[in-house]
Amino acid sequence: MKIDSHVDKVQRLAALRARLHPLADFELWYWTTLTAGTNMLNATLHASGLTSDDPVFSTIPGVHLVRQGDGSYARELRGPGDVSHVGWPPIKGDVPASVRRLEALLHGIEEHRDPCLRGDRAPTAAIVEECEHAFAEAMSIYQQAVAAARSGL
Amino acid sequence: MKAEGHRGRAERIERSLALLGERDWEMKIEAAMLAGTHWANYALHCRGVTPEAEDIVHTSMLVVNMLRKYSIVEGELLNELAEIEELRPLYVRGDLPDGARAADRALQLLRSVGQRALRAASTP
Repeated sequence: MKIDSHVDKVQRLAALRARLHPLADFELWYWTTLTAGTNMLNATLHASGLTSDDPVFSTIPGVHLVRQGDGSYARELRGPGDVSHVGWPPIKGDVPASVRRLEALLHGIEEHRDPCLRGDRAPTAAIVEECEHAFAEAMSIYQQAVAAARSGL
Repeated sequence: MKAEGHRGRAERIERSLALLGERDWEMKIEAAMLAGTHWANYALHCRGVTPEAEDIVHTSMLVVNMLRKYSIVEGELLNELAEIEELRPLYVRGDLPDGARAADRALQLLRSVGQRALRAASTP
């Protein structure tokens, strides 16, 4: 998907995140954080030239939804494009340290997904704080990558 | 997770939905998926088809034979959940126009899924 579309999603998701209470609305606050983070990663990967920004949409690794001649969408096997989650699929090759750092931050957020959303672990202020710090640093890396790409650096 | 735990999570997500607006279609669809999956697990646990230790996460990730088994008792509910799931690549991970309309459809499906789950719980 194009960088501009990722940027639009990040902006709207970040605004929504601020309206949700991190503990009272934990499920949606967390999932909004995660979804914004994945869009930051995809925009950064495109801006760094590591993945394609073709207007096709990710499903499981290696399979994207692609617009057909009649306007419908169908699943096709494709090379590296958007990832649906960090590490799914992994990005191989010569990856800049800042992108690896972004991946590590998102992996840190992802660690709370199954225990807190699908298991019985109660979300805590410490988990929220950890996610907040990771999100803020991830946002900074993403913004620098997109700004550099737009200025032609 | 225990059946009542799933119901509690689904109801909490539905309460949080009230804070979402017209431009939040991605999270409306994701909320429908998250809450709908909790409702599906609630229904399957209440009907005794799955034990507490056997939760579904996505209909698309299920082994075909398990989906067939669960569909014997909750086929319509699982079809509705699958329809919500099909909206995700197009409108959450994709940028098709009419996201708000897709979100309305997801929430309509969620309401139906929840109603079916509550009926399942009251079925002897």
